[in-house]
Order: sequence, then C-alpha cells, then structure tokens
Amino acid sequence: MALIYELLVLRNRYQKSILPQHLANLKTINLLYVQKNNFSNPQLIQAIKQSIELSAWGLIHIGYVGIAAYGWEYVFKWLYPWLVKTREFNYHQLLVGFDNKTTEADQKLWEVAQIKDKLIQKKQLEKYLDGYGSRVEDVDLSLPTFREQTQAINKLLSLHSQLPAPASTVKNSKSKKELATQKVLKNLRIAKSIFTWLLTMTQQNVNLREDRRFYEFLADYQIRQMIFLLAKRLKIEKQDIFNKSWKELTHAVN
Amino acid sequence: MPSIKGIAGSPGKVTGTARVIRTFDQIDQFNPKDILVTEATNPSWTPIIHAAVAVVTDLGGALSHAAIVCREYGIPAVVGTKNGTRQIKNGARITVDGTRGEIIVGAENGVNVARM
Repeated sequence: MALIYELLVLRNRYQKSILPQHLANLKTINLLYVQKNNFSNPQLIQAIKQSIELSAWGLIHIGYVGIAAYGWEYVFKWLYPWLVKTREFNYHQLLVGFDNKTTEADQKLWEVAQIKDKLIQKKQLEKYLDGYGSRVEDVDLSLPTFREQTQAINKLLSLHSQLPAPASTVKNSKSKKELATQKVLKNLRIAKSIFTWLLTMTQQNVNLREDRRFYEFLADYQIRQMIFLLAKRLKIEKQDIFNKSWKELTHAVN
Repeated sequence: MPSIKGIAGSPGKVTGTARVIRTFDQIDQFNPKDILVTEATNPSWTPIIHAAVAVVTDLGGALSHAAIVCREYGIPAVVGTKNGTRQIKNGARITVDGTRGEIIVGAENGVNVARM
C-alpha cells in the first residue's frame, strides 16, 4: 500500500517540494563557488563540505523519485498485454516522444555545432556548458564532468554538425506514438477511461527518468572546482585529493 | 555466423561497423553511423547515442538508460549482453537486431548501414 501511495504522490512531491528545494540549494552552492577565491583555507573546506551536503540532499531525494519514474513504467509494462488485444504495438511505443532535459541538451549541442563562425561557436559552447555541462558518468566526484572533457566535446561538435536535429527525431517519435495510441485505444480489453488514466499516469512520469538525473548532478562541476582550488593551495595533485579524508585535509589546512 | 544474445532494448535491425568505446573520453574514435558498443551508458553519453545507428551494452535491461534513449531516438539497441565489449572486436561488421535482442558478428559485406 505504501508503494502504491508513493507511486501516486511522488511526481507531485518532486515538482512542488524536492526540485524547488534542490534548485535553492544549487543557488547556495553557486554563491559559495563564486566566492571561493576569497575564502581562507578553513572557510574553503567548510564551503566544500556544505556544498557536498546540499548536493547530496538532492541526490538522495531526487534518486528516490526513481520509484515513480520507473515504477509506473513497470506497472504499465506488465499490465499492457492483459489490457490490449492487438500485438501490433509494444508498450514502449506509447511512452516515447516526450521532451526531457537530455534531449533538450542534445538539441542545444546540435545548435552550437551548426554555428560556422568559430568565435561565436566558442561563446555559445560556453553558454551551453554552463547550462548542461555538469552531466556525470557516475555518482563519483572524482570523475570529470561532461564540460571538463574538452577533446570529447570537440568530437561531439564535429559529429553533430553532420547529424539531423535531435528535436526532429523526438518529433518523429511523437508522431509514431500518437499513431500507436490511436490504434491501441481501439483495441482495449477494459474500459477506455481506465486505460487512458493508467497511460496518462505512466506518460506523466516518463520524462522524470531523464530529467531527475540531469538535476541530480548539477553542482558537481562547481564542487570539483572548489576541491581543485583546495588541492592547489595545499600543493596536492588534483586526483590525489579525492583519496584524502576530511581529517587529513583539515589537518593539512591547520 | 556467431551471434551474441542480449535483451531487446529498442526495436529495429541495422548492420554497421562496431565501435567499442569503454570510456567517454574514447569517443574520438567514433564515426557517424558507427554502432556504439560499450559497457553501459549514462546521461553524458546521449550525444554519442544520437550519432550512432545502433547501441550494444554489456549491462542493463529494458528500462536501462541506453534502452530508453535509443527508443526515444528510434535506433535499435541490444542491452545486457554481459560481455559484448569483449566478444565484439573494434571495427567488426555486425548486425544488431534490437527486436530479438541479438547481435550477429561478421555480417555479410555489401549490406548498407541503414535502418531496416
């Protein structure tokens, strides 16, 4: 019962309470990041600690929203063969064509890749990286964020200059979904209103899958830069600082 | 021809050149219309997925990141092959059948890289 309750309320809780709180936390982290050069070493350690705690709050709470993001899809996946007569369409064909932060980021990167003037492109790329560059490979601050991988980004720009716009692909998926939905709705084993409710609930949670991962790690770049500043001041190699404990770092500062 | 079984992540069938990329910084080896073969993907990888004609991963299931993004971009994917990155050689010609969850290694020459 508790799980069903969570499935019903999590998305709303995420939008009304978790995400606004996380965004407010990110503002605090950004403020600390901007001021980092003015901090003394003990203040800098404190700022890093505070930033990590604030970011971790988002990581945990947004991570928990995964129950809704994936839960509804699991429910829909298992019920679908019982609810629909036709086998022409797979359940996931009804769950594509929704904008999310990942496809939005890919579209923006594609737009930057189309700019011919190198100077303008560089400026727009910086803007893009400020907005979307904090994507990470894993829950591990020692790994570089997307925006720190210059060579890979240059390669992506070159690749994307030769590709169709991601937005057009998503639009295409949306058209396919609408066609599939129309046909499926004509081949139901249950009342249309019940199926439509289940489909709507599932679809509303679809973009959470990607969106929440985007927001989870938004502070990673700034936290890493603060850690690197501390490493520089303490004359520790960049990667070595991730192997030090708080105790060791505090001792080194004192 | 040898085949590798996995989980059907995203439907469709395509033949092309396999590019085994283990870490994000290896993408300089990647060419447009290559088939991305990797251990697993995450949000950083979506710009590469958009450039690929198909995706094969060692890890994950039907609701993994790779499967979800490939379905969104309409490209075939076979996920959860366990050891696809070891069985598929970089540059090999392979056919990815995302509907059946199967990869044929050493696909016949002359088949164009195209979404079938």
